[in-house]
Amino acid sequence: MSAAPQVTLESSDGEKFKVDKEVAERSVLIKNMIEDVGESDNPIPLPNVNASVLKKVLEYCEHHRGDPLPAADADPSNDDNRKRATEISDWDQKFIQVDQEMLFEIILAANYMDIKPLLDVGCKTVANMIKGKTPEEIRKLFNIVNDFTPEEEAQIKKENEWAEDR
Amino acid sequence: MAFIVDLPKEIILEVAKFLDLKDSLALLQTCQALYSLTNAQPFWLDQVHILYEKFNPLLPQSLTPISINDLRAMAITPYQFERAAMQGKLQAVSPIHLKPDFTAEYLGAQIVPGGHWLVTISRDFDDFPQTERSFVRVWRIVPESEEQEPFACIASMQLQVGYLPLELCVCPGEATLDLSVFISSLKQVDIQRGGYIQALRINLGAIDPEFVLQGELDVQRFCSGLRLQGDNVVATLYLPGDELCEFLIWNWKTGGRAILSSPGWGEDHRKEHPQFGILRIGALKSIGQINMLITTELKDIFQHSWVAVKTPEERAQICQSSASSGTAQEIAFILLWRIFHMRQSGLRSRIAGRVASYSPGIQRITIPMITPTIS
Repeated sequence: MSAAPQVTLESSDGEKFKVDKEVAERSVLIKNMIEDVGESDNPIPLPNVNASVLKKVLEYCEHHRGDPLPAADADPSNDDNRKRATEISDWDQKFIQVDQEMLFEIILAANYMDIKPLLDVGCKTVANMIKGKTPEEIRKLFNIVNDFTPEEEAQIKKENEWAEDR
Repeated sequence: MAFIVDLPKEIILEVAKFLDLKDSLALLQTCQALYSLTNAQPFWLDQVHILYEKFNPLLPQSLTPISINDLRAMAITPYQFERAAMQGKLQAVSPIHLKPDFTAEYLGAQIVPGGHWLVTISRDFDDFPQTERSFVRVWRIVPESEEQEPFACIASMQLQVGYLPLELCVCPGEATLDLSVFISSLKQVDIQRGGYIQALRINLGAIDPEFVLQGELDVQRFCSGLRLQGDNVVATLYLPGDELCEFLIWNWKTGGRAILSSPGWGEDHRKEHPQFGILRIGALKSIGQINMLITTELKDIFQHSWVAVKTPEERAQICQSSASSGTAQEIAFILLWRIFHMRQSGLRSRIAGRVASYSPGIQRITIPMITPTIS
């Protein structure tokens, strides 16, 4: 049996990763690149993803290599099903237990590399961190600077009064 | 170094899809950059879609012609309603005066998403000669100019004589001001035999809007829980007193239809039904579409088509809850009940209650809070 076809990916900081084509193709971006360019020994550059993030992303792709691929012409009804399930599988949960910076880097990479399931895991994780918190608590959690003037803040508070003490 | 505010807007919107409206707004209220998302349509479109999905299988196909303010009202009012209901603050609001004021029994009423139009089905009683005629009508809720009166009738069509309209389902069509209206009717003299669903269309942008018949389906049954799913009309079919209850899927554009049946569904619609029954007729676009409908909708239809059982002969059903949203702060609620009397004399129905509030998904939220009274 011949070895599985492999491709080389190159991170923004020049590190090269040799992985099975099947693993790399979890990324729709890479899949399309391979289709467009054809098989080649040249490394595929990923200028938006650094080595530590790419390593993490490839770990995810490796674990999920056998999962069915989402249909190319995404059916909106499937999209609804995806939305409904906010729980995250055990493996994914463990995988995504990283610091906030890495979490956002993974989300950005998943978005750039077009790996929808990974993007969802990231977004769900962020959503779970937010649930039940006040705006002030969310600012603290994510180091967001409150750049509203007191007047603006009063206005926003008024507009969203309906949501208080539910 | 990546921060949450560095994420592209579309990713923030993805995160918001996994949050409820209150949590989403808490996030977006943290800074200017995020707050700007609440002044754009995509966020509110997502929220309304999520709400409809959660509370009501009826998802209008096209929401984009609706303004941000109206979308905002559509998304927020259910929360306001839920809160008011939880705190026992639900109050009846002043009654709505339809003009002209027909002597009629309103069997169904639905406000078109966006809150500008009301569609009703009614049985009109003329004093002399003593006749009963049924009509479908469109009313303008929000006047466009000062000369126009609110709740004025702008279009009307008489329905077939001898049939009683029972249910109404209204959906925005493909274009702005274009409506699809579905009506289920029952033959009055012999309810064992006749019942049908009509698909109508009306362009409210026309100078003299008129209803146009698009399709008809003879169902020979009592038809309830009428909903639109994409191009498919879904409903439950049964005969009063009969054990058998069926589930209809009708593609009104192609004419394809499927009926699912299982014995024992007729008696208690609130039960969970693990078996979906048998697919008897299949001519729909694709089987996948049917499967999706069944798995996502069947439970909803059966669990919620009947909301209260008072006595074995009498079942109350909230036939429609509708919205009028002039502004986001002002909420008007219409709620109609229909009490079905299932006695030997046949089936009668009338409007029994009218209360308080608006939400696209009112059925589920309000049920425990209000006791219908028979008028």
